[in-house]
Amino acid sequence: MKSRETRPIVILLVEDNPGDVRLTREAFRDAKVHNNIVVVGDGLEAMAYLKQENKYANTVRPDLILLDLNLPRMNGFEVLDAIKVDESLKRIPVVILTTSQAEQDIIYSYNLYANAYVTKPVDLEQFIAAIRAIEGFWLEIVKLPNGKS
Amino acid sequence: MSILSSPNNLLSKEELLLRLEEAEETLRAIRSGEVDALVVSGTQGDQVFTLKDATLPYQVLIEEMNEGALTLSLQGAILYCNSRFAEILGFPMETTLGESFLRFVIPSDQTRARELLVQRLEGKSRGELTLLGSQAEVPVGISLKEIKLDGELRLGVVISDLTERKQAEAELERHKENLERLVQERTTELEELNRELARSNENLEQFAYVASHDLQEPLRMVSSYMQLLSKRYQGKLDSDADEFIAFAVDGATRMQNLINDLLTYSRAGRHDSPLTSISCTEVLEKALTNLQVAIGESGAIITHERLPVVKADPIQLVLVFQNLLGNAIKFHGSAPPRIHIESQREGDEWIFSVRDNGIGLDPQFAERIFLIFQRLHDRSSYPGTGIGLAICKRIIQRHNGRIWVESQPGKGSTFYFTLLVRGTDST
Repeated sequence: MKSRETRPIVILLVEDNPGDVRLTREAFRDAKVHNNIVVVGDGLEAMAYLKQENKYANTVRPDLILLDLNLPRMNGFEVLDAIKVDESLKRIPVVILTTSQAEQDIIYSYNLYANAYVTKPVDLEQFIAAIRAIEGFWLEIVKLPNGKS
Repeated sequence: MSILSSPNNLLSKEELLLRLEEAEETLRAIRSGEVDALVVSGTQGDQVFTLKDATLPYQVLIEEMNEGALTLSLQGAILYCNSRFAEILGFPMETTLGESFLRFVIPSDQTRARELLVQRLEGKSRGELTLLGSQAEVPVGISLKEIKLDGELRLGVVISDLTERKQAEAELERHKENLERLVQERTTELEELNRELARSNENLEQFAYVASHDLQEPLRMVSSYMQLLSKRYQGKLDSDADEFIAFAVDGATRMQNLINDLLTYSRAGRHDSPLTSISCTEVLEKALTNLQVAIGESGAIITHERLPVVKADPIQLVLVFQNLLGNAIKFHGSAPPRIHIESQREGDEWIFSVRDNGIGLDPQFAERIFLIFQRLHDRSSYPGTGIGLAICKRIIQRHNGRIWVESQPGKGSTFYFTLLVRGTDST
């Protein structure tokens, strides 16, 4: 926990809808843990960020990834698959955050080793509660591997 | 006889012996069939005596019978044939007599005909051939037997015309082919329909996916930001603004409900789980458990008769009972709802009825209420999207059953649905 107090938790939010980005930011605003949300708008950008390519060369590897499924250019499943087959990325927890309640999407996500699947609630209060729960569980309760390992 | 009884003439012994010899010769000729008639001189002049041949009935039979009859030499030459044989071929008898039988056999049957003539088992053979008639080819059955005639070995042949039988067979064959073609056509049509149905189901699945994902996204934006607006600026704007926000939030919430109901509806007809034998009493109990809040609030009294075990999708059948009971509770009159459920077997199906003492409905709407999102009342009196009965109908149809209502305004409603005793799944 000590290392976390020294640097903020980095959350990579892969989301193309600015409305959802804003809502997620709002929900994280009062988070207990000091956090830094990085937003990328599509799957290719997400992979470039994670592999620290080009303009992302000096960025910090995220502690948690919130991944939407419906993304331009490279969709959430493809990103998830690319992360989970990559030796250096596969330990980063990936939480699927999507509107889809389709059984096939849920099964497919877990087949690709998603760490959690969360459906975005329509109701604002419930949405905030869901984000709080994600925050509480992944940033406070679980032990995550050190970013450098 | 009068030859010998002429009392006036005394004849010499030689003459008598000669006459005796003549008489014996005549008798022999008569016996051997060489003589048909005899002229006898007597006191009343010459008299002609015809002799009835003992074989005449056979001759008549042979000539008149419906089969062709022939006598062939061992080499196949026609020594004798009856008129029927000539008639079968359509040739005059003169042109057939003396000819080789093989001349009247079609080329492709020559070998077989030769075999029939030669390979006789215990002196007999039998088969089918096609003869070459003057007008057409004639299919015949042929039966052949060795016979001894005038001390010579001959072949006695009987020929039956099979034209009619063959035509009947061909007709039958055509009918059969027709029938097979019809069956094939129907099968193809059915397969096409099945494919269409599968396509339409696939489309519905696709639609359900789109509804669950793409439609919800913008809706969530509207409702979330409206809520955020109301949360952060409640009381800071004027009362109009608060009201507008409330309407927008309400609209978005209803839209969300519609989408979810649509999803439920699209899943209602699916064949996710196979039909299993289930007790309707247990199904009813599950539905009652799901409805316990509504039952408690309304003070509803629900009774039922003995219910059968049926073959159905358990989850879907619970949904049917739940929707029907839920409606019976929701649309109650001034008195607390009383609902009675019973079942009755009729032929190969069970007819279930759910009777209530509620507000009832005008029979003119009896069909309409089963359509998706059709409502008879405003939302403030009776909330809901109008999906329940549409879901019931879709589920019952999946089980090859029917659903309908009998009702009068103010006199309660009775909803009926049927399930097959030997439950089958619709395709």
